[in-house]
Order: sequence, then C-alpha cells, then structure tokens
Amino acid sequence: MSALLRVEELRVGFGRRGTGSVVDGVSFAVHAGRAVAIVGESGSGKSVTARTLVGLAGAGSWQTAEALEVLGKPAPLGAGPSSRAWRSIRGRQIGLVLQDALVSLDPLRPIGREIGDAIRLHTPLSAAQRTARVLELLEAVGMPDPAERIGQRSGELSGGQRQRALIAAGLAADPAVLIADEPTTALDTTVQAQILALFETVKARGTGLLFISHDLAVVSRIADEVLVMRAGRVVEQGPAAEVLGDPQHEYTKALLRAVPAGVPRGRRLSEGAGAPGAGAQDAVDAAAAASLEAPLDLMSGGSVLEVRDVRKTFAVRGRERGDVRVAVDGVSLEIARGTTLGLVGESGSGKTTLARMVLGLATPDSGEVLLDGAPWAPGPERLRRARRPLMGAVYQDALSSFDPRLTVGQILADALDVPGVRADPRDRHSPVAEPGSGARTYPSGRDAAGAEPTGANRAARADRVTGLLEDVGLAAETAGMRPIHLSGGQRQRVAIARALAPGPELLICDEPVSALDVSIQAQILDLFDELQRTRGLSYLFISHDLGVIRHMSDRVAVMKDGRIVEHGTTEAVFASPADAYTRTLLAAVLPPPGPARTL
Amino acid sequence: MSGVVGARRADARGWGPLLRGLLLRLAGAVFVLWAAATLTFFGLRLIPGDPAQALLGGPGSQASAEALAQVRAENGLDQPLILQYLAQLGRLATGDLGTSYAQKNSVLSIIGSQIGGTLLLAVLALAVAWLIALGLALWATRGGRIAAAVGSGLEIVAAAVPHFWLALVLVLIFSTTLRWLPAVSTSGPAGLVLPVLTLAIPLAGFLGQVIRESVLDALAAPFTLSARARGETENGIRWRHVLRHGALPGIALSGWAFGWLISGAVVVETVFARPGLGRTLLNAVQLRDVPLVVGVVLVVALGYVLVTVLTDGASRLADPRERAA
Repeated sequence: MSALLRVEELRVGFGRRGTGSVVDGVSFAVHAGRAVAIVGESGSGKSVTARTLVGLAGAGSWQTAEALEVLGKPAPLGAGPSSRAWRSIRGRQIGLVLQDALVSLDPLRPIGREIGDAIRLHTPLSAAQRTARVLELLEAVGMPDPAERIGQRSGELSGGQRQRALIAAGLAADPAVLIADEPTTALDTTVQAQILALFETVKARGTGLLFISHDLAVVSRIADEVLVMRAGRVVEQGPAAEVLGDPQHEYTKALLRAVPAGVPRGRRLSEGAGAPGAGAQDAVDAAAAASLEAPLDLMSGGSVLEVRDVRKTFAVRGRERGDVRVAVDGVSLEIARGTTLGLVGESGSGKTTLARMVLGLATPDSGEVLLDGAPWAPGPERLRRARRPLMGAVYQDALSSFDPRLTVGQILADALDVPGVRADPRDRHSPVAEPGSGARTYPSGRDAAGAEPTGANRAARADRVTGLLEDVGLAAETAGMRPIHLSGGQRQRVAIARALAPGPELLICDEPVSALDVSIQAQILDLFDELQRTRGLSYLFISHDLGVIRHMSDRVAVMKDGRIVEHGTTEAVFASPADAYTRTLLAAVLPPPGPARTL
Repeated sequence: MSGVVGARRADARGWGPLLRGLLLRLAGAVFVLWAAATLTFFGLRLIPGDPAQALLGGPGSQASAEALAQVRAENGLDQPLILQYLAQLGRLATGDLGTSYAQKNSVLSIIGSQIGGTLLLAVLALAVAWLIALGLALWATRGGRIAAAVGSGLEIVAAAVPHFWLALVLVLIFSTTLRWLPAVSTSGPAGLVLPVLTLAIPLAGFLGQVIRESVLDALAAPFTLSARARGETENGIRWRHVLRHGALPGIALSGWAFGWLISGAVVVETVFARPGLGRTLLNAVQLRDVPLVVGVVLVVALGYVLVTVLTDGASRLADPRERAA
C-alpha cells in the first residue's frame, strides 16, 4: 500500500535559501492506520517539520525536499503559504491539531463555528448539514453534551474538552492524515489518557497519524515508527519498539534515562553535567541508599512544617451572595525535617491554594500552619517577616517571577538583602531556633537588621551571589545577564538560587519542572536532590506528574477537590493505593518508555 | 475620565446583583454630573471680571453702578458664593438649567437648537474615523515591511496634528486651491465634508494604532495558525477572526473618543463658522455666561455617560468573554 504522506530529505530554514536550516534532511512516510512520531526537545525542529507539511513553516522560511508527496501527488512546496494549492491540502488531505487548545481556538467564536469552518471550506454542505456534521464529530471525539457545547467558546470549556474540540476541527473535513503537534502536553494525566485513547480510535479508523511530542511515554503508547530529532537532524529512526526498547544513539539513551518515572529516589537522571560534588554513580547510589534510611533518623529532628486542618473558600462571582467554592477543605500535612512531601493532584484540585496558604500569601479561613513548631499562619505578616528567610518558593514559570529589568546578580542580591538572612546558608545548624519567639540569633555576619551595604559588604555580597550561582551549577558570569537571555533550565536554576539566598530550611516547589524539556527536567530534579542532601533542605514538592512525584518524594499526599484523599509513604501509595481516585490516577499513568528499568 | 464609576460587569444570573449594578452605575452617573457642574461653576469664578458686567453686555457696555447693583440683586450675585452654588445646584436638581445671561433665553432651548449639528458632526466623524482606521490597519498588516512602516507612520502623523492646523490645510487644499468644497460650513452635505474630516483624521490615527496592534497580535495567535491549517483563505482569516479581535480595543476607545470629539468640535465649529454646541460653549465662556456654560457642560457630561454605557454594551456584544464573566 502506498504512503499517504511521503517526505524525503526535507530541509527547512529561515533566512537566505540554504542558510540557517532548522530542519536538516528528514525523511519518513505515513501510512493509513499507522502512526509516525517525531520526538525531540524544544528547538529540535519537530514543530517546524510538521508545519512545513501543510505549507505553514512561517514567514521568511525556505523549504527543499527530494520528495514531498501527499496522497501520491507532489505537494506545492514552492507555492506561497496562502496559495490555493496549499489551501486545498490543508484540512482536506492533512489536518493539523496544535497544542494548547485554549489559544488554538478563537476565543471569540463558538467551537461549532470553528469546527464547521473546515467543512464549509472543503465541502458543499449547507449550514444545517454542517451543524449536523459538527454534532456527529463532537460525538465522535467524546465531547459530553455536544448539543450544548456546540455554541460554547473555548473559554467556557475545560482543557480536555478544548483539546477534543480542536481534534474535531482537525478531523472535520475527513483528512487522510492528521498531524498532532504536542496534543496532550497541557493536559492532566487522566485527561491525557483519554485524549490518547481518542487518537488510537482515529488511527484504528484508518487515518494516518503524525504525532509530534517531547513526551517519550506518550510516544511509546501511540507510535508505530519513531524519529528522534535533535537540532534539526534525525539522530535515530525506526520501529517504535526498537528505538525506545533498544536505543542505539547516545542522545536517545540520555532522553530515556532522563524520564523520572520508575527511577528510584536519589538516583541521578542526568549525566553528571557540572554538578558539584557529584561522584560516580556508585557513590550516588550509596548516598541514595543512605537517604532512604535517613527518614527515621531525620524524624527525630521534628517537623519543619505542620499544616493543621486548613480550609479556604472563595466567593463565586455571579451567584447569590454567600455562594462559595471550597478550594481547600480541611487539609492536614506534616513535613519531617530534611524530607520531601510530594503533593499530587490535577488542575483545580487546590494544590496551589494550599501552597499559597503555607507560604502565608493567602489566609486560611480556619486551621493553622506551624513552621518549626511555631505559629506561622494565619496572623499578621509582620509576625512572619523575621522568619521569612526560613521558607523559599520555586514556581513553574521562572521568567515571569523575575523583574525583567534586573540582572541575575541583582535578582540574587535583592534576595540576599532581606532582614534575617543567615550569614552562611550552608551552615544550617548555626542559627539557634527559639520556637515561639519569632526571633533568631545569628552567630556572625550581617546583622539581622540589615544595615546599608558598605564597600566591604558589597564585595562580600558579590561573593555570596557567585557562591549561589555555583551552588545551582551556573557560571559566575551569569550574574551579569538578564533572565530573558537565559534558557528555560538556566532560568529555573536562577529561581532556585534566589529561593536559596536567604538560607531557607523549607522550599515550596510548585510545578517547578513542568515547563522544562525532559533532559533539562532531569538536571533540575538532580539539582533539587543534591541540594537536599548537602543542605538538609525540606521540600513541599507540588506536581501533576506522578513520575516526578514518585522520584522525588519520601511521602506523598494525593489531593482531589480540596481534600487529601490519600497520604502515606511513597512506596505504600504507589504500590498499594487505598483510595479509588489514587487508583484511577495511577491507572492513567503511561508506563515509562524504554528498556525495562533495573531498579 | 474613564467613564462611569460602577460595576463594569452586571450579572446575568439573578436580579439582585443586576439591580445593584444598575444602582451603582446610576450613582456613578449622578456623581459625574455633579462633579462637572461643580467644577464648571467654580472654574468660571476663577476668571477675573464681574459677572454682573457680563450680564449687562460685557465690559464694553459701561453700565451704571445702579444697573450693576440691580442685576446683582436680581440674579443673587450679591450673596456669598457658597449660597449661589447651592442655589444653582438646587435648580439643576429640579431640571432647571436656568436662563442664559447673554442671550436672555432658556438654556435648554439654546442647547436644543444647537445640539443637533454637533451630534451629527461627532457621529459622522466617529464613523469616518473607524473606516479610515480599519482600512489602514488591515492594509498595514497585509504583510510587507513597507506597508507596516507607512501605516504606522501615517497613524502617528494623523494622531499628532492639531485640529486648527489640519482644518486650515484642508481648506487651503480643497477650497482655496481645488475649489471643490466650501471653506465655510454651509447647510448642504458638501459643507459637512471638511469639518468631519478635520475631526476624523486625528481620531483615525489613535484608533488605527490600537486596532493595528491587536490585529497583529491576532494574526500571530495560534488560533490563526489553526484556521490556516483548516484551509481558511487570507480574507477569511481577516473577516472571521482577526477583525473582531482588532475592533475590541477600538470600541473601548470610542467612549473616550466621544469626549474628545466634542472638545474638537469647539475648534472645528469656530474655524468653519458652523453653528453648534462647541461654538456656543466658546462664546458662553468668553461672555462668562455661567448658566449656559454649566448647561452645555452638563449635557456633554450626560452624553459621555450614555456613550460609555453604549460602548460597554458594544464590548459585550463583540466579546462574549465579557458576558460570561
């Protein structure tokens, strides 16, 4: 059977023809009822490849190929992006589904119109017939209440519903090939599983799939053939089982190794890239073993954080007065010193509200938070201020948490310039904690009152900034750069350095690796792990990714609808979940890709 | 002045919040009117000179001391300022705008005879400005660096030119040189062209800038890529998707534009010797005709409030997100 879509030696670049290539010699073929997946990290050229196939590589681009055939006919590579030749292919022969359906559907138009557009453009159906067809499509993609949803706009739908609508729009004119560019990236685990099942039915109906993803677990579930791309080139290509099961190329191996799912706590995910103090794997494993035994010992240190029955409600706008939504509903948690509590839950489960209450940024309606055994929240901020340095926070979107006008050095100096910052954050035993007093004494260095920096002080502070950068694996020169010029991984390292600056005991990490490529995620997770071991930090680690949670946590709490539905040691929760929701969540997790892991 | 103080989003569900929203809006409108009347009243007192003299025909009338005293007594001008203010406020509250000092005629009837011409001018100018701005924004975003540079250049120049200068240039070109249109406003439609263009061109510059900006945003948005990937045509992209996104900030700006057009009308009506509210206001201020000035200001403020309500409604029609929230 001939291929629906055949690509030979595709090259795409931006700028003068032949220069600045971002896709360099990609070849593959998509057959009916089969799925080809292109895997790669950001900047690998996988999305540009997908868009070139429908003539939408972007302004200022050039494309060449030895062959680019759609349904056996050569595609109009040289034609303009809005030419009739390309428009008759788009939607009709090749459908394209983009990631992040919130912005990929026009927020001002009902989804029915968006889906119907593809039918209007490619078929002579009347308006009434189109509506009937759109309803059929919505039914087929598993949209609940199609008749009601057809008139709604993307802003009124949930993430999963939006993605279903977008897939329905891609399938509307019944194309032979469907290209899906990161279609499950922004979705919760259980929704991701549903959308993948939908793609499997699409595939089973005979549509050829080209699947673009950075997520190896997703790819191993859906793909028949895999291309691994890096910097515009295909480094490895072949049947999915072979490429993911027995990778030959070093990069593929590194990618697979970087997936945290199924990797025991404490084992490094990235190859020892510049991590100070990182020895051979044996040493790390030994340390990991030690850290696994450690909790017993650390428990004697008491809990660094205790959350007692906190509750938070928000007034719901647009309803009768007094109508509220319960965001956090009677949650109690405890984090033992030097350990990690993983908090897992899907979007809207109340994780972030809980984190904000722990940080003292939101006031609980009832219940209390204790830090180091002393009252922390609720209460006026001035009582917390002296102890603020004990708690740090790392967020998902590091860039937007920085003042864009400041350099990295200024950002860190700013974080150091807080009353109560400890002279040497590594010396975590030096401060004498006096629970309840709200004040601490410091043996040396800057006085807690924070006098204006003198020349000597300034030099000392520059040293501290360099030290912080070194601690997170960044070069000292980074201090002079602005966050906008750093990569995603470097930005997150700066965010961690900033959190470490005041010398905290507890870090609240809210989805800190969710926006990162898998190899960068591996490095950042390794950094968290190493900082915990060298500084005895405690983490409240919030993530929707069960693989990450399992790899990072000593104990796990599962949150749903504002409540902790399950709470226990990581092994217990993952091995024998007691709650029905936890079981659903675990069932939705895709098995980690790659060769069977040696635990 | 960003319009009415009050609930921007009244509620769709339940009458309680809706009523509260309406009351808030009403209270906001009353506050705006009161503030306008008060500021105008005291502002006019700051101008040096004797209002009684203005009443008797201005400083050139050489009125006798007795006549001045009589006029002061008749109009309550001999009372303390605060009492005069309260008396005027009391009259305004009952809907009585008073009698013009200079024209010896009811303020309401003067405004009634002048408002039509100004409204016609403002509405036409707004419509023409929208046409120019949309056309310019769509053309400038058609792709191509030259169109973009020319488009944004034109917008900046248009937004920067003052009315009186533009009016003179237009008269010089179309009346004096080409002799196509009358230099002084006549009653026919030909007499409207230059005044409307004078008001519309700078406004088109402002509108064009915000519209072009959001058209560019919409063209770069993933939903536009999605639409193209469905096989949508360039025109389809513009009419079905981009234009609506582009119009949203323009609609929001139109409420402000109304006030701006009325102040522009003062200049334009004077330059083109066109009867209207603007020229009436200018003359009244020069003659210190307090009741007429306060009356005109109140009517303009009321118009402002109404237009703000209308643009809010238009925004809701164009942007379903405003309705849902």
